[in-house]
Amino acid sequence: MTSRISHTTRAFEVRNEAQFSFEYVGEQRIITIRELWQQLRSEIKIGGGIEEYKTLFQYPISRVQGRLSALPFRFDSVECDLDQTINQLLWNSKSLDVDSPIKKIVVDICKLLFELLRIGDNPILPAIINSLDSETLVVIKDSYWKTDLQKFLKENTAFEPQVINVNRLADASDHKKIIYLGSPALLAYRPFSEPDRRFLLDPKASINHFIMYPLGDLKNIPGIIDGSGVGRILNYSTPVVFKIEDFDQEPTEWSAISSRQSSTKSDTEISEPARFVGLAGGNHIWISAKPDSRCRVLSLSRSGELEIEARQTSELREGEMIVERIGKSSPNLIDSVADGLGAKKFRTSQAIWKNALQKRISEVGNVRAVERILESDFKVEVLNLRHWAFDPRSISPASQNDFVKTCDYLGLKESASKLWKELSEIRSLHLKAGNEILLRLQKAVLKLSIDQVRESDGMLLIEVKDYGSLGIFRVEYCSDEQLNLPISEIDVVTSNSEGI
Amino acid sequence: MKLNTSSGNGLPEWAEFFRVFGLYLSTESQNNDSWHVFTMPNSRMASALLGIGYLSARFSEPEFQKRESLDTFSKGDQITWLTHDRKSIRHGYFESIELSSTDPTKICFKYVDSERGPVTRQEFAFDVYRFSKYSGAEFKRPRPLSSNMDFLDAFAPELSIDLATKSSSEICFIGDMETRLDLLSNELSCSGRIGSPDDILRVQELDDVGESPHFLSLYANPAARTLNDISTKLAIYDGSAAVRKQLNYVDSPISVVVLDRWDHNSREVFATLKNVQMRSRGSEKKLPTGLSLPAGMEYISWESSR
Repeated sequence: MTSRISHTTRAFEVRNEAQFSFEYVGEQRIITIRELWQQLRSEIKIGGGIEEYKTLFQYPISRVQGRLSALPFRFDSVECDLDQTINQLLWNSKSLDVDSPIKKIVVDICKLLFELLRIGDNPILPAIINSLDSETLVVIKDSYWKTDLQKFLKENTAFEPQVINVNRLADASDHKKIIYLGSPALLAYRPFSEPDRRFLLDPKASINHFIMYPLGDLKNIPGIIDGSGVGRILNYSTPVVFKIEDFDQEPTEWSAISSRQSSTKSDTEISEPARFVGLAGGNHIWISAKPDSRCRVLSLSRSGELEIEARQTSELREGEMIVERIGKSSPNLIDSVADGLGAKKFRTSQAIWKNALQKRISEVGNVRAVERILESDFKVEVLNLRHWAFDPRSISPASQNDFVKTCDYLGLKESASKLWKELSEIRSLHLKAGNEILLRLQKAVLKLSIDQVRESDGMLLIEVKDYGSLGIFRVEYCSDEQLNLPISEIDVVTSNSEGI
Repeated sequence: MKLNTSSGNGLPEWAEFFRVFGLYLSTESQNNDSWHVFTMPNSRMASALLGIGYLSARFSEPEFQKRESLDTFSKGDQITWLTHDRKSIRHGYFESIELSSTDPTKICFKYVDSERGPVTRQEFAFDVYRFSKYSGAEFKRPRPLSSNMDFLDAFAPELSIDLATKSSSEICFIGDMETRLDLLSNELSCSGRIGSPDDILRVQELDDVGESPHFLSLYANPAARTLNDISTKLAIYDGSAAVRKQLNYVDSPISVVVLDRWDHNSREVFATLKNVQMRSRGSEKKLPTGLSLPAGMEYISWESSR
């Protein structure tokens, strides 16, 4: 085992000896598309920055040029998706006036995309083949493509290099050589914050080779302390043609998927804040962004065993592995475990209570109207009617008094006492289930080995007593933005292809 | 004695720098507040080596060689002392000083042995023993001085037993699990004996002999739910989390911060520290003459009145 002193020594050696080289890929059409895209952005801005035009034209073109300029897939491949992109752009542009400058630019871009589609061969691939060896790590910008690219390189080169996205470099060990796909500016860019230049200031390899289009003018790499002398100046052999601020608002593949979801607000649905998390294997999840919410993360204990840790969702990071239920049709974990502990026989009472509430709301017209009746005529003190009726996590009012009065209103006066008793049983079994779940997850996880996790390509299944299968997924992307979503959409793993 | 890596080679440049810088810190005044901030591409073992340098410079000072005299104890005080063979320590309750029943020229002490119970008494001549007032959890049988006495002997001959039986909080290390692992890592050697930084630094709550009744350094994990106020002579903050979470809980005239530049929060934490400098109106200092910063490292330092 390498000593800790050696690790640090190696880090110093690598960073002090690091060399940088920049290989320019010569497909002029892609640079022209970039120039046209910039004009498109200006035109949209001049026209008032209409969000619809950004969605229909600016973002799709930005995404496709991201694929073309930083990935080696053939231009006519499913991954580049030029065919569909061209068709979509042309279709969307039909609604524009004939002499619209936006339409003209979009059509010009589509012509170039069509030429690339016909050419097929992507010059990035031969550049990679010439540079790759058995000790090379390949680094890309967008984690979305990691698995596809790894497979592609295995099939199209003589090697099986590891591929990671640039955000994961912090955890990577030192390598002899790293090939970066994309320019330093593209890889360093972070929306709404300073560029992340760590991979340039303290590289993880002695040889750092960038296969790139000349996009972005990142030259100066400062240290943390002003004037310290550890900074670098990158010397490009070809002048870069676009400024780093040109990357502003470039969406990733992940943001394209997350943007399919829209915020909802309805009288009957309970919604809560959530944030988008991209997962391995072509999946994603919206996790609860409420301040006290937690997720279950697979981690290593001090003794080197796998264990489950309850983590605040705000602290979830890329590279971690979370445990979640798969698919909207799969039941809620706490309900299932509580049923196994004895709650099942009381669910009929829960259904009677909720159905009666929902029926009355439907008859009266809306939630607020029913609340007014309960407040004034029945003197119910603490009203949370929307949750009582529509939130599956809400079992009953906290106050028995309020419950009995509401039952009176609903015509359930005779059975109020029995209903209250049974709902209280459910509540107590849910509390017990909450404690039990972590134990059961821990038991399930102990059946896994660390090697299984490493070789899993980011996705695993575990079996939990009284529930069935839960998924363990590697986090590939975490968004900072929040959206209000129905609780039925939160904390459930969904395939990226759903909703297209 | 010279410290090497466990393979017998000399310490690499950056490691030797931290050890020597630690030696230098021991000469700094305790009347001012001084801050020293380092950034580097990987910071593993830096704080441990700095601590070793600092502490080893202090070993020659009288307080590390001071042996408590018997007349400082009162009846009932918990005390520990070295066994006759110098290999382990015992625990008991002080009773009184008395003349030896066999040799009237020797002064002895009576005590109650905690293992044998309060009713058993024995007498020993005192001049071969070290005594320490003890305030830890009671232990019942002789305990080895250290799990690695050979290494401590090699590093600090003449002083090893005094160091093993002394308690004080010279240094406080503040850092996460990686800092703890650094302190416990068996990758140093001295005269062919291998050991960890903790074997020299004797960090409270880290592994020694199951319990560590005697310690020279403290360790605080910033992730701990209860953050305690700590007062020490040298505070070493290892990593950005240590500064973010523990900064307001540690009082020390000398503070060193070691930041790993791959730590995402290092820049933000450095900005916090610059604010500390501005508020204290600290004036910048340079590295002492004769010490040059290894390539790839950054350093800034300032001092203000306490």
